[in-house]
Amino acid sequence: MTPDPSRRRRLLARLGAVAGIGAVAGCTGDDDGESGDETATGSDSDGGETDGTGPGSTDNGTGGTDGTDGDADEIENPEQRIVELRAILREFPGGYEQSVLDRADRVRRDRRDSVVFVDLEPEPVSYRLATGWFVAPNTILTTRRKLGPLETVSIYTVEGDVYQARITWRHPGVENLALLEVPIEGTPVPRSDYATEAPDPNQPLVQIGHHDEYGHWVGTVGDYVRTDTFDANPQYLDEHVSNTPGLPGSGGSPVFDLEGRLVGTTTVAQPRDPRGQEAPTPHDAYVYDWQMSHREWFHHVVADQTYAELEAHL
Amino acid sequence: MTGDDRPTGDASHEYEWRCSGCKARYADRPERCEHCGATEFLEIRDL
Repeated sequence: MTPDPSRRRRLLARLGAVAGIGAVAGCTGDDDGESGDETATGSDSDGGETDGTGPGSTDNGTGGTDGTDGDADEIENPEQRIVELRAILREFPGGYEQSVLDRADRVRRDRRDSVVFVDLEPEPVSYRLATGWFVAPNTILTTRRKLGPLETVSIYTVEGDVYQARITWRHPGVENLALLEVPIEGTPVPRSDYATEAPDPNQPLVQIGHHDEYGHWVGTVGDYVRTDTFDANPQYLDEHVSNTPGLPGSGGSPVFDLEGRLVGTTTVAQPRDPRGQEAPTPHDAYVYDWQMSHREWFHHVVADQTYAELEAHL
Repeated sequence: MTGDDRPTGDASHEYEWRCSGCKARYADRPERCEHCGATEFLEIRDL
């Protein structure tokens, strides 16, 4: 994958149009990959919302609601758009400092034993694979919607051992969660060490998961951009949104901060530039030279609320 | 928290419309959510 200078220039121009390029100098990925990392302690020196309930909440991206990337005069929420564009800029090679990537890789190595491959083949369901993680020694959390009518699935541990897992619980409502019981003692993600607050804007996150075409136990890093809430019922789980790349199969992946604390579990992806009900039009501004998954935002149900939801079933 | 009777769309990697108020799913974007009445929807796909 090689950088696309023209694409990068356009993004920088948009950042400049939104807030003045000077305001984000140092956040373009050239030389300050730590800028978001340092916010893990809760500081918020860049003026962004820290609780995830601010202007970005329930907003699917200020540039994406109308099927365009948006010019400056179309942007409804400039602060949120700046966070998104900063996140996108970090997708370019060199976007994160090596020290950030090293910390992310440490999280991947420390936590991957807790992650399993959920093999859905050759069962008659629409999906072939998913990700799960040990939420308790004999219990794995994965995505409900992938399981269809199945009663058991095969799971692989990182050591390559395969076991039959019994589906013991499916969320009875809208949440995309299910529990599997396995006849082994796995290594749970430490329950005493999860994030109790939303990350700060552009804080790097690390996902460990299985990607349909890309590989297994893959660690991917991206920026937190916002938290979506669901007003119909306060019990519906909030969702953190990031650009931590995912592909089919990464549903159920645990997502951590750079301290290794669980932040959320991946469920769905949304297109950054949704077509909506409009007719498709050619996107001919340039030739893509990076993964198409980067054209989406990724949703992760919030860790502490997920634990609370599972409490009675563990 | 119930909802098994709400529209769920098809289980596939295709994009669906999800209500921004209650997470109900639709294959086609409705004017208003049948479950909670919300009018905001997000296009999503399962991973």
